[in-house]
Amino acid sequence: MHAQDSSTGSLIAHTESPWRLFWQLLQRDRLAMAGLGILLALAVVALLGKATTEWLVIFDPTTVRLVDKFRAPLSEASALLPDADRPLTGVYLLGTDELGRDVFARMLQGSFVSMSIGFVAVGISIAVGVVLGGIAGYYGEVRIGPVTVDTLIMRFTDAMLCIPIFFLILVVVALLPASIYNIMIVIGLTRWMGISRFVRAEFLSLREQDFVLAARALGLPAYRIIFWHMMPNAMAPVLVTATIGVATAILTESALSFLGFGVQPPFATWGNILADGKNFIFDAPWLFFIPGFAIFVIVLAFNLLGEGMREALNPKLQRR
Amino acid sequence: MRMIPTTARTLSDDMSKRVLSLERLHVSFFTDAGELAVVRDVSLSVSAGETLALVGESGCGKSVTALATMGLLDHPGRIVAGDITLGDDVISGFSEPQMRKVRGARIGMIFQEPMTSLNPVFTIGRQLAEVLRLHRGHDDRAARLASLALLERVRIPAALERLRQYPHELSGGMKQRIMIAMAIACEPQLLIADEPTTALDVTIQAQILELLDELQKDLGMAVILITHNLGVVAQYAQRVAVMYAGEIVEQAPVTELFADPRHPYTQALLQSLPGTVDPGRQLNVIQGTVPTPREFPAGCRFATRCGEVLSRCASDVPPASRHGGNHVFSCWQRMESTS
Repeated sequence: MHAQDSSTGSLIAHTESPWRLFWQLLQRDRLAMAGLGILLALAVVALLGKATTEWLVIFDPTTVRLVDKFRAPLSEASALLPDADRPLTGVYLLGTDELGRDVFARMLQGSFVSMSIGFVAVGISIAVGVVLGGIAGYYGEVRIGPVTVDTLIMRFTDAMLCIPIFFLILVVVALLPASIYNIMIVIGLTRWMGISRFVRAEFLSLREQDFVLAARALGLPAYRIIFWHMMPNAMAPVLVTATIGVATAILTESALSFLGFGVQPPFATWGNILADGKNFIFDAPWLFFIPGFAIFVIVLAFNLLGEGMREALNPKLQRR
Repeated sequence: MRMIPTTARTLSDDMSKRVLSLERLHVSFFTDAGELAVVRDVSLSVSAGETLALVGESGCGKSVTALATMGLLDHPGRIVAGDITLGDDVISGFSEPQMRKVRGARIGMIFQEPMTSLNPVFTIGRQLAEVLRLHRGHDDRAARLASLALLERVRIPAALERLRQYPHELSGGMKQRIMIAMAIACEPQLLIADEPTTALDVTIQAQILELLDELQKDLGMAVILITHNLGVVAQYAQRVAVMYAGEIVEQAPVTELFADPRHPYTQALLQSLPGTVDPGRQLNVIQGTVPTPREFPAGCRFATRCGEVLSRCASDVPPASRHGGNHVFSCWQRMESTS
């Protein structure tokens, strides 16, 4: 300590931010990097899917071709088909469904819908969870009437946790039109409780740390201390939960769609492709297995990445 | 360090230079079990360029007094009576937004634990710049230049590189220098140093205290130095206030306090320093521990541990009595023996 303190610039090491340290640790985890790779690839696919099925229609997910029902993957389009309805290169990469729609095109369209539902829903739940958890943790002892802010917020969180979420979502979706946005909002607003508990717990310990007192002693306003100084220090568990949460949200959407309460046709999502396919599981198994496999891969990738991040953020494993 | 101060600086009790004064400050914690009077009837003042040392055992209310001054008392603590005056403003009546303009700008504060006093996720440069932006309205460039000047002022070598570093890359002494830089960034009238060297090793302690001393002279700040190191008090302070169980039991110029302590607690403290007994002998101790706020006696709070306790001590609060010009203490026994 002394040597460094009294010496001049010669001993200054190269600067390492906590985030770079985290990234270095994460890079050592092959499974997590595989997960990250898959997710990046799927994100590209989803964006391309949005572009090529809606803006510049190269793969048309809505064309109905009754002559080409239940074509297996990689089969060629029928010669009877009018030119305008032929798929690109004349081959159905992933086959067709009971209406002769191109499954590859539908999967492309669905990838964007499924992933955006996952990310937006988690974004909403992070926003709600972080704000509520942060306020509960920072202003914990402040009283509003007979109860503390902490009690008020955390008991509300507990109450939300007591409701069987899936059935709550079903009720809401049954009452509201089942648009993509409503589904995003409903999933987001019913999944923030874990995050708010995490953030509150982190804030309870951060609040006692000297740098928070020091920030107050410098005259910083409370919102800046909460969101600028404390929040980045509380983000590690939130990041992990959020990553795994995206997978859960995608699964929830798939389950809703599977039950017929999710995103409605003609919009394709992986969940409703799967739901349509289940009726033909023996005649046209690809209709069932392709979306099922896609969901499996994306959920697995998110979980691998999430676990890897949890490991990399674990202070006991850092600086090995 | 030597016990008796070598340089007794002139004592200024000039009202016009007075920067901070606490008058009959009472702080209580309102717990479920009732009100705990943690700080009772504390009055003190510091003038520009003067260092007041606040000494006492752990848990005697030094930090609570400091936090009350900053307006940073957390629930369930509250100021129940008394005034805090900074310059011409009675800041104890200030609202939170008004207090935010005082903290960091007119009163700087440094803490005991430099290791945890900086935010681990931001670079030093960003943390320094934040204060300058907030109170001085500097833009990025101006804040950066000012930060560099500040780091040089607190004697940090290679300042430019330091700005880009994170707290975990710096040593404890270096971090404390940065905390000092942040505290003096807006050239405050008053600096509260809450045990600034307790967590540092001895060689660094001296450097930090020298630095504080020098900055005080340059900026003409008033300094409240909270410590339990009497050696530090002797060397760096001009006046001392001895706290016990939430009260100031004795307040005097530093030479006078060391030469002629009046209160039995102060005497016992000085007696318990190494050097008062021959080597190989057991050191003098004050028997027992500071009572918890729940157990504070109604009268003199030192009554439970005092060797010269009188019958009235436990029930009646001793009034402040003067001994010479600036020497004030509160003790029944001594009051009677002097008068």
